[in-house]
Amino acid sequence: MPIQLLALLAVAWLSAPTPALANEDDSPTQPATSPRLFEMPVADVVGPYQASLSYDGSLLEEPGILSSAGVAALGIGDLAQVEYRHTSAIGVRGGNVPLPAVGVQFKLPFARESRIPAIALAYRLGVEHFETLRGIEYLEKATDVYLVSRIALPARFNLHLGLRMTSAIFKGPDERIEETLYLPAIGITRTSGNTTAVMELGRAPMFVVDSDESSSIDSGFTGRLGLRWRLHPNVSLDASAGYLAKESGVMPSELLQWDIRFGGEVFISWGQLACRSVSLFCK
Amino acid sequence: MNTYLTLAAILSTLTIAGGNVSAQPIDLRPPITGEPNETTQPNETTQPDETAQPRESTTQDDGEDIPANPYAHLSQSAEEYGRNDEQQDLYPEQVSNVTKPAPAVPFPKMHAPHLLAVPTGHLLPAGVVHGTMSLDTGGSFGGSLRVGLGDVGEFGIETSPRIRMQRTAEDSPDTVQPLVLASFRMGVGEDRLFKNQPALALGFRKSFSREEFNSDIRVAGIDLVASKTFGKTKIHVGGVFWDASMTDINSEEEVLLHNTGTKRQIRPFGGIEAEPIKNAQLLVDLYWVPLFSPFAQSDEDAIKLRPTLSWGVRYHLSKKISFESGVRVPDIGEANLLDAQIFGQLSIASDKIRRALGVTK
Repeated sequence: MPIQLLALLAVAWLSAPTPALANEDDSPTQPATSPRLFEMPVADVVGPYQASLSYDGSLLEEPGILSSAGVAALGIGDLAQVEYRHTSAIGVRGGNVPLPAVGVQFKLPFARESRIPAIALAYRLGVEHFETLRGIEYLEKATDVYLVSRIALPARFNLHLGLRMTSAIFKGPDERIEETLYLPAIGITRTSGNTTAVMELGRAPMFVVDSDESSSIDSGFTGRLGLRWRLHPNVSLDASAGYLAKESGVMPSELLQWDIRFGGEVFISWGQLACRSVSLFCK
Repeated sequence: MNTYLTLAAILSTLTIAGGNVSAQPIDLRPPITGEPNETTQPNETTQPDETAQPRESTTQDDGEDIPANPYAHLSQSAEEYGRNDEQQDLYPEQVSNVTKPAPAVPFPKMHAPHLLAVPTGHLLPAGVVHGTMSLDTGGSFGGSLRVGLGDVGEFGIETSPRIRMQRTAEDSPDTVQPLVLASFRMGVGEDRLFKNQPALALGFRKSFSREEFNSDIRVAGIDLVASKTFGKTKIHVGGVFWDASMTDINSEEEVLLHNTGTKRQIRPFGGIEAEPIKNAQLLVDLYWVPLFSPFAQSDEDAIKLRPTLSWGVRYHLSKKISFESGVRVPDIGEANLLDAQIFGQLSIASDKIRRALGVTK
């Protein structure tokens, strides 16, 4: 695994001082954009000829078990990306489970300089995820349509608003449940230099097994507060504290449900690499 | 552990890459060639013309002598930088290797992120790694490793000698160790937002699960602290919100601090830091930490917050190394000085990652 990671970072390193477009014209370098806050997707796509790989992990949320969230996104032009993403959910063991999904996101073609908010629509096809509780295996899956917007505010603040329409499937040994949920999310960021403070709050599907083994799908709250430090045009570090609230209220019922995550993101200019290696996308 | 492998891989890659990790594009222009002139900057490499031959002293049209060795001034510069005679004799083929070192980036101004027990409102500068190791007369050890993130955050791993368990009613409480905690803090430095604004930090820490005396224990805490400098004195005031759990491994019966009421979770803390002479500080602080009592009959007695008083001195051996020593009374509510411990702690900071990342301010 470390060799793979080093290889990945080396590839990112080789592609570092490159423009967003594969050709080497005099246009100013356009940095790649992260396709997420921490768990909440954003309206911006990663960028043309760019790819993003990010991962945050924690051993604290469930002791001894790595909880995590990751995104792999591939920019297709200025307005689209295909992605593999861990979407947010609360699993049968009460922890934050990363539900995998494969998706595509389209951004409406408004110039970044315009006053019109950035708006994007994503479709994410859920991939089956299995979780075991008391020796019984449960299937969890969520397919989403996600509408998200970014609104630029004064003083370098950005407001992110999202609405996630989820078709969640929960399957135990005896029953199969399917629910459609409407889950709002909100995020606020403020960038100062190469550091961005991030706060996000949103509802997430929650898979519940009661003591009598009956199953249900509900929704709970997840929230995170942290920062993203852009060490380099192609590498950033994330650190955040987050919580789960299973009850109807926003506030967590206990501090022990909080966790700390640490991770990072690597941007790869795949267009530049393709141009150099096989002379593709060189204009 | 993949996260930590990822972090290690990122940091090692950046370190290997050295100074090329700044956000500025890498300068790929060819090095300056030909005769050096007065406009040559100290950190630029001078490259002589390979076709140039050594020549005798001649006179220009304006009458100024051209020295036989056109790179003589570089040798003089080398002398200024303290190179030895052998290096100063570089001429002319080897002179291309003569590069004046870039001016050293000073170690950033840094306030300690903790007093003796309490966290402060100060955060580590971006890219600075800070580690501590402590030992006390009771044989308890502690340690921490923190890294500053972008001047507004801090991530760390620590093991604390302050969280204790009283196994039976007859026993004195012992330190639970190693109880490893991860921590994350965010905040702003002093005077950053407005004049006279104290340094503010919001921290969260949470322990990994630890099995102790047939019990599985965990703690988590949020602290908000403000630090203000008044001349040679700093005042640190804050509040901590603790939560803790203790689960009997055999019966799986769980005791939770938050089930006993919010008032039992919140406590104020504070400390004073005075610097009567340069590089030496007097420190006093009061903090609250959980005490576990598995034998207790009620939840209120099973997990309690107890006040810890510490006082001591910090001596800065250098900008990067300091030594702390003092006395810790683990429970001043009991007024039992026999449990007091004398401790020593070594703190070391490093800005190697910061310099490798090209953070200069």
